[in-house]
Amino acid sequence: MRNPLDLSGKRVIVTGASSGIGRATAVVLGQLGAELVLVARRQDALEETLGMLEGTGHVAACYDLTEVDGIPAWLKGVAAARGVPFDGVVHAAGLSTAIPIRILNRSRMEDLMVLNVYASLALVRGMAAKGVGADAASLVLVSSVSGLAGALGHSVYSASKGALHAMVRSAAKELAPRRMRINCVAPAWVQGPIMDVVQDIQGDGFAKVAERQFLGAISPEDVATSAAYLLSDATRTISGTTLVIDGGWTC
Amino acid sequence: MTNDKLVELFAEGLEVDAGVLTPDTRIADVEEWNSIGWLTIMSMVDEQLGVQIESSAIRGFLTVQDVVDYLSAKTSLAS
Repeated sequence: MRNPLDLSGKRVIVTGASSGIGRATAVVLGQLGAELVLVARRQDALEETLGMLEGTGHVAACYDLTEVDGIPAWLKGVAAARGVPFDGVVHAAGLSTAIPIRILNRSRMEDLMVLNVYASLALVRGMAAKGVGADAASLVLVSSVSGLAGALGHSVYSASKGALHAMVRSAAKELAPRRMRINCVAPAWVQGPIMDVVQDIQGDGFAKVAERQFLGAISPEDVATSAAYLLSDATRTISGTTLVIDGGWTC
Repeated sequence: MTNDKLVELFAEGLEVDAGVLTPDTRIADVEEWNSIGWLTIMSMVDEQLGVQIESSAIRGFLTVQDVVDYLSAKTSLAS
């Protein structure tokens, strides 16, 4: 029986694999048969994720993605060590700090832009290099509905995620000659520590979010499954798009 | 940072006039101390004191003094 979502034999990099959406993505991709390179800063957390994965051949590769200029060469080295190019990447690492306008400064803006935008672009460059990304590889960037709709304190975060939505459209055209694809997944409020903070501050549990996110809370696994879909051959003609996973938030 | 300086920091973050906040002021009575106000104060405290306000503690704060006490305990632990 053919399964268009099967990822057996596909070699995929997952950034931010130490927690949250990145970790959930690693678990889901492992279940679908992918062979993974897990990336984050902390080796111990990556080891923990490795212990959660089905399948074999997965490895951890510690790297600090704020070292943007080093990303392409580092990626090349990881591919060389494996001896085969990658079929995909899911870039789940990112910062989601809320910064009220009244305390904006360059340093705070840079923190978000470096990891959310510059590191994404450097990963694209790295994957586009011959021998690193395979022909027809799929690149998936985890963005946010904050790039599509506003949220209090999110001006910088929105700018960083909206930049990704714009970026994938151009990158899709440039990568197309090798049938490489690039897309975003844009979740709304995902269960986890960030949502906990918002709910604590607002003091109303899920009520305020639920007014707009009427299909309920989004789990990291929901985002992971959408990323898996975009990695799969089922989406071989989909590129330059943003898949919104928002439970109705932007309706 | 002294208690008075902490209250000044809150006033600066909330952009309210000095004197609006006293130790006995109830947080719920300060219009500016809303979600954005909290995010601002949390960022400023983190940056200037190197202390994180746990969001789970926020609902337990009734007065300005409660926040001061919380931060004093945290900073003494950190030092």
